[in-house]
This record gives sequence, structure tokens and C-alpha cells, in this order.
Amino acid sequence: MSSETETTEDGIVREIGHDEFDPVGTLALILIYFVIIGGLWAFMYFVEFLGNGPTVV
Amino acid sequence: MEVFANEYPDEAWVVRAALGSAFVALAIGGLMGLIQTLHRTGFYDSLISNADYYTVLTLHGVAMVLLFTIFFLVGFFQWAITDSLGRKSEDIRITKLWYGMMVLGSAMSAVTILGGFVDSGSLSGVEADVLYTFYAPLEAHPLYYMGLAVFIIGTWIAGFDWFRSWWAWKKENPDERMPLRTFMVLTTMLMWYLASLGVAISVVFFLIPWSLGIFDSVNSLLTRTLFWFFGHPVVYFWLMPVYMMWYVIMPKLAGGRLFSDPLARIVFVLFLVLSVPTGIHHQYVDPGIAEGFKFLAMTNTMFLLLPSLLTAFTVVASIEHGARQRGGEGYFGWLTALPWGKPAFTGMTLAGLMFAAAGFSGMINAGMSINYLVHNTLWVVGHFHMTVGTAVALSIMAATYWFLPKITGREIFSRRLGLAQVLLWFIGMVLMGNAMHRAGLAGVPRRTADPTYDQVIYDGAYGAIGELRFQIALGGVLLSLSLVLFFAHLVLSSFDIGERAAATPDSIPAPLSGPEQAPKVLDNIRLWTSIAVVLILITYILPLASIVTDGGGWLGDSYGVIVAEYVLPAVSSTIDIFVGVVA
Amino acid sequence: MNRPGPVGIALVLAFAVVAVIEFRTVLGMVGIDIAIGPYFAGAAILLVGGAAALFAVPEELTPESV
Ligand code: HEM
Ligand SMILES: [Cu+2]
Repeated sequence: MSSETETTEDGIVREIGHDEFDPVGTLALILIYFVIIGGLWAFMYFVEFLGNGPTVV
Repeated sequence: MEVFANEYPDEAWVVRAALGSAFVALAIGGLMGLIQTLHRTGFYDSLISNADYYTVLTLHGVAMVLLFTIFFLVGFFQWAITDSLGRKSEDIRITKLWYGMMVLGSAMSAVTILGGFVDSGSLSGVEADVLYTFYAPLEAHPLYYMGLAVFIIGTWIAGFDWFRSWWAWKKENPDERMPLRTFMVLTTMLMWYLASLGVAISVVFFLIPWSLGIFDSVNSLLTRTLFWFFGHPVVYFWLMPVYMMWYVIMPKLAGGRLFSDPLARIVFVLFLVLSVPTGIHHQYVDPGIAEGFKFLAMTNTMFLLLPSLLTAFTVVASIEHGARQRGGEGYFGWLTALPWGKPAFTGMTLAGLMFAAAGFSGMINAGMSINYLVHNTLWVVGHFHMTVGTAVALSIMAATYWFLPKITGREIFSRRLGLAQVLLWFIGMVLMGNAMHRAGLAGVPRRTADPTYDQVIYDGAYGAIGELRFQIALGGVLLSLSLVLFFAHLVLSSFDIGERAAATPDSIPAPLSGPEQAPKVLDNIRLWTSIAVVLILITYILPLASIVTDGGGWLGDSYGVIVAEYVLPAVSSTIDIFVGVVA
Repeated sequence: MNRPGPVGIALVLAFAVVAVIEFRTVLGMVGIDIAIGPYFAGAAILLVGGAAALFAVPEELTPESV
């Protein structure tokens, strides 16, 4: 009944099938995430090991 | 097609009831959370005494991570099973029975916890200030453990109920693939059966007899290890329904389709196989467990990153698909084409983002050596408020905006209010979570009513500790405000004057890459369960054996023989039965 | 590119609050101190702006309001 209202509500302007879809945006975001995580990992070394004395009891 | 509430009124009643219970727990837990943040930061510590702080904290932990999350899960899963199989509960009385048992169990435990506030009168001996981990030798009233047992048995029956639906469906549709949502429910429940066995054994065979005075002591390392046997996988019990929302609801909200059904199945199989044999990573600093076993647990933990990374990829790609169908362009421009005005979508996205951030502190926790730096500090509390406290809790609240119309048949009150609520939670948690992490690095302990000591000056990497305290308190207040908005919304929706009917239909679009692409073996849950059992045996038999033989027997020092005769056969036959019966 | 609607503004401001909170720490660690007064004032203004934007969100959403 309301497939029309659904389309406008969802704002879909084109159908993209499996083969035309290339998730480059996802790739870009995930690469950024890895860079951040890797950076934090390196940062941790400075915060924890160079900043403080021995922690292990 | 009808709205779920009208098509399956009996099932919808149970779903609503379960959600109602979940939200009562959330309200209680939230109030306790507010008291805690203000108390332990020193902003308002005259409401409760330091001794009562541990009663408050027990209530917070139990209400949030056992009751709120699991009640929501059973409600959501009941919907998932009924809706995806398109059939009523096989016997609604059983469905009501397990819900009733869960309520009864919760009430039993709650009474004992609340007893902790009462120091005189008939309730004075009744208390359970043991925190949600109930490590022996902290001892609770027997009713506390019994309540937990009844609650867990309720969830077991729920799982059985859902398996029954599937068996019946399969008989009528022998050639069809298991629907994705059913697959997710069943793999999650199998994981849960394996995991909760640990805590059930600990509670039924050790803690209940001990609290009743039948045993003088228990082997506290043993019960603790059995707790974490359950305690790690329970985080996936919270997370897997949320992953289901992310896989099933988010692509729909974004205007797209799930990127890959097979990938989603693989993720759930990986969780089934890998969740349990990692629990020892919570015990890196426990003496009495050899380093080698800890190393094994760490290795398994690192493998467990894989399904979460796969999820990140699949979910983001599905959303991107939606954005592109809505006209989005470019490497990042598509982000603006997403439906940010929908609180369900925005809330779940923010929850996912917070989860990604918490992935970093999780990596720190998981490393055997670096764990020593943060163990038992507020860092850990910061970590799990971003994971279960946000990735799970915020997703649940956000999904409720989408879910409620399905199970009540009426539209929610206001999208704007929903949006304000999810944004506020996000901001509040950034403040509280970030400051807790930093305070933990400065050495502030967790589970401490008044973390100030004459001899200790906390030394943060940057800034004064007072500022961190302020951020923790402010964040906690914003979170509480967000909860108030959430509950106001629920109330307003149920009294909505307009009584707008929920939109129909609301089918879930087919995945881009459907189940026909998935190898048949993925649906062989018997195989995956067997592999999980083997892995569990490999990781746990030796440490448990050494805890019992080197650590003073089954009960610490006394009565070892009785239980060895009684418990050992029971454990091994339960495992046999389980392997035999599964699937 | 489309001009952002109120929802977009609210979201961006929410993230800006987050950024202000996080970056003060990071900057502080590399030696750049931002006094607490301007820091809280800045965060508060962003927060109020976000709230105001939320009030401008229409209840019935259309694709353009996103
Ligand atoms: C209003 C929101 C919340 C606030 C203000 C809050 C505050 C706190 C604080 C301050 C603590 C640390 C207490 C201590 O270690 O001394 C804590 C512990 C905890 N919180 Fe929350 N929290 C909130 C929401 C949640 C949510 C949504 C969950 C999970 C769904 C959660 C789960 C936990 C757990 C498991 C603990 C640990 C309890 C223990 O150590 O035994 N919290 N919370
Ligand atoms: Cu864990």
C-alpha cells in the first residue's frame, strides 16, 4: 500500500545493486580508524612507559 | 502485512513486558549511577554512607548488566524469532513461564540487595553487598544466588522455546535456509548455554550450599574462575542482540540493504566458537593461574577482534549503500546523505562510534602485560561504560524508538526529543568515559566509595585530578538527564494524545548478497557448537584442574572429597548431554 | 553540496563539544595550555547552540531537513 510513501520517507533516489556497489567510503573510514588506533597505540608508549615509574607490583 | 503488535498480540505482550522490566532496571540502575558519580567524586556524598556505597554499586551493576540488558534481549529475540519465522510461539504458556521465572528471580535477588540498606528489623540479616561479580569470600544471602539461578534458568527455557519454534518451522519448510534473525538468535543462545554453565555450576554447587552453611568455605579462585568463564561471554550476550540491530535495522533505516548475509552469519559463528575460551583475560593478575593459561586466553581474545572488525565493515558498508541510494556521493560526502534526523539511526551510529573508540581501551585491557597498568582502576570502568554502557545501552534506547511502534502499534511521541536524548547520552559519556580512563591512568581505583588517601597524590599525565572528578560528575549528570528524557519519552508515547497508528508495512529489505551465497556448512550449528566445546575444554580443563589440585581442593580446604564425588560426575555428564542434545 | 539542516548542525556541534573536551587534554600534553574558563565557556556555547538547533528540527522529517 504505502510503498510510495516508504520511498519518499526513505529518500531513496536510485536503486544500487550488488555489482554496482563499491564501498569506497567504508574503506576510507576504516583506514582512518586504523591510522587513529595505530597512532594511539604508539602514543600509549609515551604516556605509560616514559612518563611514569614502574607500575607492576 | 500487519504491524507485529496486531498480528501476534500474545507474543507482543511478552515482548512489551520484557522491555518494561528492562526499563525498570535501567531506571533503578541509572539512579544508582547518579548517586555513585556524585558520591565518589565528592560532589554530594551525604546522601549515603560509604558503607552503603557498595549496596548502591551492587544494585547498579546487577540492574544494568544483568537485568536491563538481558530483559531487553529476551524481548527483542522473541520478536526476532516470531517475526522472522512468521509463526506464533509454539506454546504461549511456556513463553510466559520463562518471562515469569526471570521476573521472580530478579525480585528474589533485588530484595536481598535492597536489604543492604536496612540495618535493623526483620530484613537486617538479609544483604548481598557482593557486587555483580559476587567473588567469594564476599558472601550474600542465599536468596541472592537462588534468584540469579532462577533468572538464568528462565533464560534457558526461553532459548528452548525459540529452538522449538525453529524445529517446528523447519519441519514445515525443510528446504529453506534458516532466516538470518533466527540464525542470530540460535547461535547466541547456544553461546549462552555454554557460557552460563560456568556461573550455574559456581552458584548451584558452591555458593548456595556455602551461603546456607552446608560448606564452611569455598575455593574462591575456583568460583571466581567459573564466574569469568561466564563473565566474558556474557558481554557478547549483551552485544549480539545489538549486532542484530546493527545488521538488520540500521541498513533499513539508512535506506539500504545489508551488505552481506553470509558475512553476518560468519560473525555470529565466530562469536559462538570464540566467546567462552577467553574468560581468563579478566584474571591476568590473579595469582594461582599459570602464565601460560593466561597467554592462551589472550591469544583467543585477539582472535575475537576479528568478528567485531568484520561487523564494522559490514555495517558501515550497508549504511553506505543506503546513503548512495539516497543520492550520496564521494569518499565522505555520502555521510551527509544519511538520515541523521531519525533518533534510532543517529543513536545507533553514535553508539557504534563509541564502540570503535572503546576498541582502543579494549586492546589495552586485553594485553597481558599492559593490563597491569590499568587493572582495577577507573580506566576499566571508563572502558565498559563506553562498551556495554553506550554501545549496548544507547543502541537499545535508540532501537526502542524504531521498535516501540512495532510492539505497541502506535508511533513514538517525538523524533526531536529522541534526537536530543541520544545526543545528550553521547556527550555525557564522552565526558565521563574519557575522564574515567584518564583518572584510571593516574591510579584512581574502581569500586571505591572515597578514593582519597593521605599518602597518595594522584598524578595524571596532564591536568589536575580535580578537573577529572568534575568531568566524571558532569558526565554522570548529563547521562542521568538523558535517561530522564528517555523515560519521559516512553511515558509520553504511551499517553500520546494523537494516538497515531504505527506505519505499515515494515518489512526488512533483502540483503545485497543473500543467504544463497553462504556455504551450507555455516548453518551447521551442531558442528560449530562442538568446536566451541572442544576449544573450551582445551582452554579450561588444565587451569581448573590446577586450581583444584594446587589451590586447596574444591572447597578451599574442607570437604573436597564430597564435592569431588558429587560435582565432577555432574559436570562431565552435563557436558555430555549438552553435546548430544544441541541443535 | 547541500547546506546542512538543523539536524546536521546539532550533530556537528555535538561533535565539536567532544573535540573541545578531548583536544584540551591532547594540547595540554604537548605543552599548549588552554585556561579552564574559556574552555568551559566554549564548550557551553557549543552545547547551547546544539540544543537550539535541535529545537529547529521539524517533527515531520523530509529528506531536505536532513
Ligand atoms: C546514568 C548513567 C550512568 C552513570 C552515571 C554510571 C556511573 C557509574 C560509576 C561512577 C561507576 C563506578 C563506581 C565505582 O567503581 O566505584 C559505575 C560502575 C558500573 N556501571 Fe555505571 N553508570 C551509568 C550507566 C551504566 C550503564 C548503562 C551500564 C550498563 C548497561 C553500567 C554498568 C556499570 C557496571 C557493570 C559497573 C561496575 C560495577 C562494579 O564495579 O561492580 N552503568 N557506573
Ligand atoms: Cu572479557
